[in-house]
Amino acid sequence: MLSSRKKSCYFKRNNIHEIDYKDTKLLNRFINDQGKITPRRVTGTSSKMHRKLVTAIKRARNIALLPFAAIDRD
Amino acid sequence: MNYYEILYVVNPNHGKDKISEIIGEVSSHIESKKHAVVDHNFWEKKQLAYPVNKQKYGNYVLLNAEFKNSDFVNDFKMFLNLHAEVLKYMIIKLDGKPIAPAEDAPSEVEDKKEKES
Repeated sequence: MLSSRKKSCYFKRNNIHEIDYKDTKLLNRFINDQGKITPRRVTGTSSKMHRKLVTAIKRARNIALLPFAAIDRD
Repeated sequence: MNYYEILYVVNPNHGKDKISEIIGEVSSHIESKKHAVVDHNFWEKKQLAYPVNKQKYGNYVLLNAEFKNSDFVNDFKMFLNLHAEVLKYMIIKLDGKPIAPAEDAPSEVEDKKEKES
C-alpha cells in the first residue's frame, strides 16, 4: 500500500553545499505559486540544507527578489 | 576585519551612467572612512517581487566590502537611508573573504577593468 520510493535531497544529489539567496531560479523550485516555502516532507530536502534554504528564501524576500505572498501579480 | 555583502536597489528610471555615478558615490563614502571596497558592480535590472516606493522594476547593485569595525555598519545604513536613489538595501555579514563575484557574464568585464586600474 505505502509507496517504498524514498525522496532524496535535491542538494545532496547535485552536490550543492551552500545556497545563495540571489539564485532565484533555484529558490523558485522550493516555493509554491502562493510564494510559500514547500515543507520538507514534500520536497525531501535534508534538514541541514532545508535550514539553509529557508534563510536564503527569507533573504531573497527581504530584497524583493521573491514575493512574501503572490496573490495577484499582474 | 569583517566582510559584508550589500545588495541594494537603485531607481529603475536611471541609465547606466547615472548608476555608475551612484556606485562611485557609495564607494567614495566607504573609502573616505578608510574601509575597503572588494567588489562593487551593477548586477541586473529586474522586476521586483512586490512594489517598492511605487516602482515595479529595480536596478540591483552588488557590493562586497571589508569594514574595519562593525560600528561602521550603522553609519553605512544611515547613509543608504538618506540616499534618495536607493530604494531598498540588505547588508549581510559574510563568514570569510568573498571568493568569486557573481557568475553573470556582464559583470565580469567590469571586474577585470577594476583589477587592472
